[in-house]
Amino acid sequence: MTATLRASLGDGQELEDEELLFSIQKLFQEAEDDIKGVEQSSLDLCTPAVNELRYAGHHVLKGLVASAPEECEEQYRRASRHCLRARYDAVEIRLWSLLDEFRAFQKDYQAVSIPQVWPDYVDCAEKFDVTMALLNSVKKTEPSDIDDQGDNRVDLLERTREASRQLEPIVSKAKIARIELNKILDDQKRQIRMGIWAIVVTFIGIIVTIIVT
Amino acid sequence: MNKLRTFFSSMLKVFFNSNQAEVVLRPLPRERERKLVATFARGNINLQSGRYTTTEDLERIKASLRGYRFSPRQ
Repeated sequence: MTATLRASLGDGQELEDEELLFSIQKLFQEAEDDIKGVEQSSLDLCTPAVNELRYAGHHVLKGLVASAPEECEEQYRRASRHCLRARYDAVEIRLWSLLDEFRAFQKDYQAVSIPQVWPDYVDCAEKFDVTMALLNSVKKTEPSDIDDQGDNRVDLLERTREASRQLEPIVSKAKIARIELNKILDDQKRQIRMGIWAIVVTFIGIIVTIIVT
Repeated sequence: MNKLRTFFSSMLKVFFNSNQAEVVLRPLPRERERKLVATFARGNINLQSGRYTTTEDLERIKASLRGYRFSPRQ
């Protein structure tokens, strides 16, 4: 906090704002960690989350130069909300990409009975439905309206993070299951080829029999 | 002849209406945009590789998954 700001505030106010600043720093760091985590797992930079951190920085600076203590506090609160939103955006992007990956997996193996390789597959698939319903239930606001919403963002963030923790291992398992499912697909293709050859050979045999007789 | 007329009329437009010329910014194709970002980005390895997710990408995934059911159970 700047010396001017320190001087302009009373002792109690100064302490409260410093506490808020420390909490913003913690939230900012957590958002950074979440964004990095998503970057490492999906190899994609999530720009909406980074954008939210940009808004957070903007409000911290506005708070630092604010003349009135109330204005300063308000700006810090806005900054902390943007940090939370950044965390949520990062987790949300990861969740949607996990849903997309799992959908691609299901599409690739729609001709195969997956539970014969993966016994609890149906239970796992249900978790994706539950997560998608959770994500679709969220009403997102514009960055300018972030302060108008009265929902419980911390609770929502925890629920989405928990969903991400549940779905990550399932998607990893799907990647491993692909190896066995590919073998089944190859077997199916081989059987179809053999069936076609059997029909061709039978057909030729019938024609030869007709010609000879 | 028609081509020549079109050329001359466009030249006249440029000379006499140049201050009224409208600049139309068309959106870049996705791949071209990613290549440009990769060219100019510094400091982030994913951005330098043109790997990033925007709100539009997210909306595209959401739209493609709308109404989709993962579980075979009803």
